[in-house]
Amino acid sequence: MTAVSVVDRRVGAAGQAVRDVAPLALPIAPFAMAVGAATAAADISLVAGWLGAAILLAGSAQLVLTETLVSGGGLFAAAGAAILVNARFAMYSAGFAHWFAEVPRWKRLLLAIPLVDQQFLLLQRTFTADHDVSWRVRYYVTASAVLVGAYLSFFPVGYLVGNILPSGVGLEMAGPLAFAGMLGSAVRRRADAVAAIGGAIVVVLASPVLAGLALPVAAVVGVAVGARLIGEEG
Amino acid sequence: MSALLVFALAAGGTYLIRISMVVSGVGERLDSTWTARLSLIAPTMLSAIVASSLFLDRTDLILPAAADVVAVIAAALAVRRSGSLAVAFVVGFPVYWSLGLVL
Repeated sequence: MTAVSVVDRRVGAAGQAVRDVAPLALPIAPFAMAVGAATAAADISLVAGWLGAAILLAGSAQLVLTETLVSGGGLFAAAGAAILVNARFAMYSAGFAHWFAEVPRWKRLLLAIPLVDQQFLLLQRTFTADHDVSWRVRYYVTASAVLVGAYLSFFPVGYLVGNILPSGVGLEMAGPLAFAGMLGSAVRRRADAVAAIGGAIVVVLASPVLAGLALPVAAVVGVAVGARLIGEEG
Repeated sequence: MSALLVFALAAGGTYLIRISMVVSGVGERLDSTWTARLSLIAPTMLSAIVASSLFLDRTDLILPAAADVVAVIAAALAVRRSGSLAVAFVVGFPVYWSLGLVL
């Protein structure tokens, strides 16, 4: 392989990542603003909220964390609730470890930091056996930079102006709309639809009993139900 | 200070979850059956998140507003049809706003 082709391949990974992640990064703006507004409403300082957003990198978990604090839950209850919401990342971690198996372990431990829903969806859609590991790393790092950059840029905007916007704007709908859009894109086969319906039913029915654990349980049940269909369809 | 401590605890726990399959080595040993199942995680998780945002107030079951449900369905269908995720907001928010005025 010549030096030129190596450079081209690297630019290609970064360029494709930017192109692919842009439609995912756009919906992050109102979502990050909604998280920022919720953080402001919880009387958490901008600096603490922003730093928290930067180290947690999980908007829905941050929403749950702030809601728990506002409703009088203690320090450990709030952190525990956020961790439970993020339990689904264990499944993303399996995919991540599989795609980056050839990367040195210390590097994988760093790369895993920005692993979120959007990243998982993107990698699942993009990575094939044709992509070598350096291409994958470059793609992943670029996509992460765009997603994290968008999230952390719009968080303070929401913090500062979110609560003075008219309530009819519906900033709180940003999250559901963004995830619904990703869902529309993720359902391609009958097995996907069955898994999605299964996950939705289980989370709604199980939440009153299992609270934060309902989400990972729904994930396991939904995947199991969908997997049966994959098995039947061969 | 206490808020930062909560974030740090949550971030630490979340990071351990993110690296769980790297550290355990499970993710590297996945065979084709398991990798096929991985493809089901995204639709399952996304629908579960959307369903919780519509039908749950924390852990209590609620009846969602019609505008919320219709906007979410419209966003999902629009993205499915167009292939562009940005369309979720272009379609979803106007549907939500208009139904909010009417209903």
